[in-house]
Amino acid sequence: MSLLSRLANVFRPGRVERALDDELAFHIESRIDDLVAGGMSRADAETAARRQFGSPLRVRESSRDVKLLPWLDALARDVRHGVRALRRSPVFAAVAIGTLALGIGANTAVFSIVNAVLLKPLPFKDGSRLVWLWSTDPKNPAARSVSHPDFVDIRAQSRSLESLASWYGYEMVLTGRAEPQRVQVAVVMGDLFSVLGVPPARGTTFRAERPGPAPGLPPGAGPGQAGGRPLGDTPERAVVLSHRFWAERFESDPAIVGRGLTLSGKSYRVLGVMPRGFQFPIQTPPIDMWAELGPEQFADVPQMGRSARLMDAIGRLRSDEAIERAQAELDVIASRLSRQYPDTNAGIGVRIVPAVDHVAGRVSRPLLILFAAVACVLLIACVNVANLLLARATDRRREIALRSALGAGRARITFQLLIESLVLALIGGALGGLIATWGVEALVQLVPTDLPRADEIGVDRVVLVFTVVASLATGLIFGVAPAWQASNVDLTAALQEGGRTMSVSARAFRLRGALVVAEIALAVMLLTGATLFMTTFWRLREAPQGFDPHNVLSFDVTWPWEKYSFEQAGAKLRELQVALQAVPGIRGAAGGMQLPDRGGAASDLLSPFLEIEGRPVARDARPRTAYVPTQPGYFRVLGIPLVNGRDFTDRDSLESPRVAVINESLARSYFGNENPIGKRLKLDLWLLFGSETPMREIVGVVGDVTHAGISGAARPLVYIPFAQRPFNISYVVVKTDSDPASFVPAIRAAVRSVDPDQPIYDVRTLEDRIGMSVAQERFNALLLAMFSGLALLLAAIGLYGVLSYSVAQRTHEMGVRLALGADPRDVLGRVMREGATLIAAGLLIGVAGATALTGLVEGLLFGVSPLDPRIHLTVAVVLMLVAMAACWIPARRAARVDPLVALRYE
Amino acid sequence: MATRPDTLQGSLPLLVLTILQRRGPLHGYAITSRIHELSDTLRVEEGSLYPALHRMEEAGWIKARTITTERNRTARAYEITAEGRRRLNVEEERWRLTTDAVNYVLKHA
Repeated sequence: MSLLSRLANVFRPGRVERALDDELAFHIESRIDDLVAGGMSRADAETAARRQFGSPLRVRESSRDVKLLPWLDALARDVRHGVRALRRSPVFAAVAIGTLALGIGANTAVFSIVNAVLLKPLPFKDGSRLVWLWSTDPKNPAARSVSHPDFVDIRAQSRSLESLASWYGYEMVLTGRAEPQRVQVAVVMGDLFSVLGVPPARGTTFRAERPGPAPGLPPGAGPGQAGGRPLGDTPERAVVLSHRFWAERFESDPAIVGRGLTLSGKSYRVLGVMPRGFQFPIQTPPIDMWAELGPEQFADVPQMGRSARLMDAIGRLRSDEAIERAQAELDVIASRLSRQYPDTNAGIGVRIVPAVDHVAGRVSRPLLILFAAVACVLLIACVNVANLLLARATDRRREIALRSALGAGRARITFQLLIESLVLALIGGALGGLIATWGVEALVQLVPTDLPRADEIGVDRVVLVFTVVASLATGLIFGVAPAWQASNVDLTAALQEGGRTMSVSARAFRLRGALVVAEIALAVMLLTGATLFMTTFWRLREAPQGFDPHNVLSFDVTWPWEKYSFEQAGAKLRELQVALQAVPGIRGAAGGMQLPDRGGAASDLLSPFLEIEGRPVARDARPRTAYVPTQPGYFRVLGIPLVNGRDFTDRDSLESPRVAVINESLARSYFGNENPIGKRLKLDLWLLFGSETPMREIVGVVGDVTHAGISGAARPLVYIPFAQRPFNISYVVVKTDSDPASFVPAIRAAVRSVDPDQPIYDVRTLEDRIGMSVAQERFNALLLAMFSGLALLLAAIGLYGVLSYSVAQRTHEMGVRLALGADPRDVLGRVMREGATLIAAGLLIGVAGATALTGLVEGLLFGVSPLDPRIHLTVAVVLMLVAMAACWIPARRAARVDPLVALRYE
Repeated sequence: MATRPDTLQGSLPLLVLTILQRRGPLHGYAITSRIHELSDTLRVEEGSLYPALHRMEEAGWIKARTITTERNRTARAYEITAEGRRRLNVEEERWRLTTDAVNYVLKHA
């Protein structure tokens, strides 16, 4: 018989046994028939036949071992035995399985996020060899970009990088038969698709094509050039579509390749479609299409200089190259560039990191904290189940002693009990998997919208393997100690006691106490973390913003570069402002280049150098500031207080003297107690417009705006009239009398009246926007609160279980005490003290642990210190209240013991 | 029962294989009956035949198939395989060597 059929037989022992029984029965019946035929009475024949045959049971057992795999058969029997044992105590089984299902389910759900965001290899060919590349600038450690000339040099000089490509994000407007739609474009330099190793699903990519003119950065925005100058219009422009965009916008039109599109007023040809699921760069909103940036464009686009570090770059390591050696080579190239171009590249290095680390870098720590937290919950669940098992083992001492007396070795009994635990864990795991599939859907709704690769979150094979492994590990963790302890029975004692009251083994009780202390400590640590993150979230929400978001709607209207020069865009924005202010119910409307919650330009691209009249500073030492061009009325719409001077008016135009309004933060830093009104300053908008002349006169000071987010301190900020520095990108803010969402149709109509092809995007109330900016903190706080709540509940249940059991075991003792005249309050006090000892020990260890782990949350908190004693006090009070409540019930039961009943019970 | 079953254990495969070789497919009861017919000395506890049969089946010396008896009952009949025939030669040879050796000792001791 083959191994396979023996293996199969293990799972159908009934079938094997039936066949055996049939064969033996046939033998015995044939013998009876022959004996009867020989003249014996039927009854005698039956007896004789059975005597001659011997024990059919023994025959069956030894034949069975031949047909089955004995060890696996034993395992299967243990499993069946375990299931039976669990069925006999359904309450225990339900509590244990429920606890485990919650723990494993929560872990699986969080793991599915960790898996998608941190673990899954990037969906590209040999993704582990992909590296992110950027220029490091000691003055701007957060920068992660590279300039185009540097990129070209690095690509030409590097031997360790097989290929290198770069890109920048860009938006265009697709017009045609359907509604105008804004599309996300990655403008690519170099052979991006072959770096990633992904061929198109249809058509071709740029590889074989001669690159066409790019839909570039603001074109023609070189120094001294105020107006937009469109690039040469050749028919070579081409794009590659994402599968999603092809499916959504073109309904998967099979004839898409070669079709012409109108993007921001220019015609493009579709070269190909990338395969389903391909997205790069991974961003929200996702990339709709890729366009190529050819080298020709750079020659006459002055802002693409070496200091314009605006592009992201990704490369592929040669297959035999270690990342450290590649880094060493790039260091050499970078220092060569520094010597060659000291003006732009002094101190500039080049750095590469594995691409997967880069994608997840920002979110990995919060995610890992959440994962650790949810693992703690599972650990606490394990402790609880272990406690249940320990209590149960005491009740099962007779059964175990009996099996031991019948010859089962200690290892055999331990194994059997462990199998029971594994059965529990696997059932819990299966239910947990189900919970997780629902839980993941809920979690995906909660995750911050900018979480990278969020759309890959789901329960897949890796997650299922995790669930199974977690279940087995769980079963071992909570099963081993109780099984070993339970198998250690004193035969005579256990059997003699005859199953009546047995004194609890002191060792078992100590073990259970230690387990409860451990789970309280874990719960304290989780509660501390949750309290810290919740406080962070609240502080962020309540932090003074410096503006009033109530009834303010904002939207993005970006006038296509290709269609409008800067001046034309400025004029259109002014038309739009007038049209909006004519709408009944709109109190005010104003455009600005940015929203206040962005804090004015985070990127270098938009951070000009600041010069103040009469304070000459060396060129290298010039400070940077943020600036926002705004229309008159912007401060009023947003409720930003005018501290001094005046707002802009319609008279502040290109023809009138240049003016500026500064925020208090800038006034404080640069003017101290001096009155800044009437002072003059100058902005060097180096990248976009070059240095401004003449100087601007400061006409007003407004309050600071703190943009939401952990890094959200107020920064020096210069406001300038939009009309004096018009631009194509603008956000419009609208203050309304009532619910701002109801004004969206009227706003769209106003935009259409200005330009029927002009879409608006990102339409949101400011309150929503603020909510989004703290989404990560909200997510952390919410999940940690849930997990720590669960942990607290489980710890309380564990404590309750241990104390109730202890009280039940000592009913007799309590009875004697009460009979001898002890005050019931003393008895109550004794039990409460017993509980309080455990709570205090757990609390101490937990607080110590939380203090030791403060490093984990550094940089993730706002407005609260991880060592704040108020946090620990809050946690301690909450825990004490819940834990003492858990003690109170068994303690009261002990105090109410009727001495007569308790003594008769013995 | 003149012979203790454990003495017989070693020779049981030899007996079964010989019977199946000469008489063709037989069910377990027929095999026992055949042994009993031929020798009173070799009476065995009948049940102990079955684990031996199943072990031999597992080893591939014999194989089982379902037959219908003359009384129209289904039964498992065993027949010898090529592997079993080779085994039978080995067993016969060993039996001959053992009995010769024992007889020699008994005569000349």
